[in-house]
Amino acid sequence: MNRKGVAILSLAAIGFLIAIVLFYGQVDKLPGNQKKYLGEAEVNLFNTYIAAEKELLYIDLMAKYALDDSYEGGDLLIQFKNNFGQRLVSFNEVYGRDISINDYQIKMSKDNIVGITNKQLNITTDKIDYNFRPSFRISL
Amino acid sequence: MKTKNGQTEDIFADLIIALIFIVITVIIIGVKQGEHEIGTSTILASEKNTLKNMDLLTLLRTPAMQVNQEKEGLSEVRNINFAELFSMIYQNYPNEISGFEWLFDDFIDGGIASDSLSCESNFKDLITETLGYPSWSLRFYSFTGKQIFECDNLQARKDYAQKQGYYAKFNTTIPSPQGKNILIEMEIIE
Repeated sequence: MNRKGVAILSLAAIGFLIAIVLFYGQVDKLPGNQKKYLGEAEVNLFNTYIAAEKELLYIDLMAKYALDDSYEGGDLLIQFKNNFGQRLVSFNEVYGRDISINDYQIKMSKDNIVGITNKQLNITTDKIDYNFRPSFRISL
Repeated sequence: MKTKNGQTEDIFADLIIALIFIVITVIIIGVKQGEHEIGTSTILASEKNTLKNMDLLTLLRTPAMQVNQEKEGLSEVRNINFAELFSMIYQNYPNEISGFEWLFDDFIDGGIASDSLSCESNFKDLITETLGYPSWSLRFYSFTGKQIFECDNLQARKDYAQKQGYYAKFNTTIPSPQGKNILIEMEIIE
């Protein structure tokens, strides 16, 4: 066997090994390649959505119960505003917010009561800044 | 082995060297590829949990049953969702007695009247059917942190499920008609 050939072959093999090590060692460091698990970013987004949805569920239920307490004792809309305003204190305590009845524009139609607010509630995590408005609509 | 020129050559030495190179290459590729796959292809247990949490949150907004409600002197049938159903617990137990087994019991308070409902098969079936998971547990805590209700339908081993990632725990606070908060804790165990 030709020993010159063996030397070239050995060099090629060693070079190939070095190339493989370099490639796999550097591939994770390339720009744009975030070392994250599959779906990790989406999970964070879902968790943020769930946190916001919990607050919205509380607001919706609170509005419903405020309405239930408003059928007796005069003007329905005024009673509702009073009851809803009182219950907002509890919401603020639970979720650490500072929203008040003055932040809402409450309208009553034949079928429902709508509370619209421009006040944005914010949930901030590592890379997510999520804003939502706790508006509501309840059926009469 | 003899060559043309009469030299002896141990071909096995070359073969072994080649084999060593091949093995090293395969090991390097295998190890590095394995690391790469962990970073891109493995589905985390937390992903499954998040999706189950979505299911539990959806359950709270899902219509549970119909109740009769008196409003402005008139009786009407009203659909209530699970969150409303759960929040009824204070209506029967205003003194916060621990160990409730009835969610409500034929009470007529605040205009709502319906059949009784406790941690029995009808209630369990209702949740199991709506949730879509056969193994779950449900606990309520009062505004003072005291556990006031417990119901479960455990069909799988919780410790095993926790280790395997087939487990999700969900907490949320909901208001009640009386203005007192209830902390709801739900688990899904696969």
